[in-house]
Amino acid sequence: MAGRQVLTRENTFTDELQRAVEKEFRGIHITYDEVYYLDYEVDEETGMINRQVLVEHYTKEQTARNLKAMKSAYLVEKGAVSPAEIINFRKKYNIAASVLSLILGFSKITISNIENEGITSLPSGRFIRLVLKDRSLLAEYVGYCTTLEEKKKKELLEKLMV
Amino acid sequence: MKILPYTEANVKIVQEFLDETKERISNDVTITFTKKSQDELALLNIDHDITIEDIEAAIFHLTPSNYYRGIDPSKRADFNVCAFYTEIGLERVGIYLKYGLEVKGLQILIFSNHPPIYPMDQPFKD
Repeated sequence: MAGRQVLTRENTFTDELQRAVEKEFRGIHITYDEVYYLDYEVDEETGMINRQVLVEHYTKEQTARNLKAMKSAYLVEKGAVSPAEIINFRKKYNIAASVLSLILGFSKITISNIENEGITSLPSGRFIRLVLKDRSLLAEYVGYCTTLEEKKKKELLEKLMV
Repeated sequence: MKILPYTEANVKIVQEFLDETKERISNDVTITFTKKSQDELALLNIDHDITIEDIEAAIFHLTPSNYYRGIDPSKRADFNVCAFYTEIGLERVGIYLKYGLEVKGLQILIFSNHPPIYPMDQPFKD
């Protein structure tokens, strides 16, 4: 399957490229994947295009994806849950993303969004990590959940007590 | 970068630059970032929750009074480049914002978006 393409200034299509990035933000070392494309370098002082040198450029949409990936990696390093941790937990205990969302008091799609796009809030990320590490706390929240049927809650509690 | 002195003609030049920017954004031309400007935005995002939409909104609301440096009236360059000082986001963070308008195309290329390192005078302000 062909990857995404981006239109350059010369009105030709070029491939979207991807690479692993390592960075230090405020003393915290992070790694994440970023997407970009290549176009001719522009001198920001003179405004002239250098047609000998191709450099990284980022569309608005690519920048949005990169910022999400970067922020998620940064927040994970600061103690937030990672998308992989949530996925592994759900697989282990066979809990749907929407169900876990409701148990934790989020909207139905929050956990799914975090799994697909990364964490965006440090307090939420730390809270989720804490709960996933403490199944008795999660079981307590199952008890509080008013949007799940009693039968479903009982099934969940049995899974969590294994 | 050139500093245009404060004259009626130069205010008009800056206003034309801003009008052209707004027209492109209104016609769904999205902004493009260099590596440097994306790295700067990442820091703004972590420190102040500034997003691309904040940058775009700031650009859209610029006036000649935000002018700092730039615009070569000879129009010989491939990009018309201009720098501004403006405040963005809920915290009204002051930033040095430099971008270029492609002369023979439609690209809006962001070169800089970071808190100013030095005090920035705004020659067209009042």
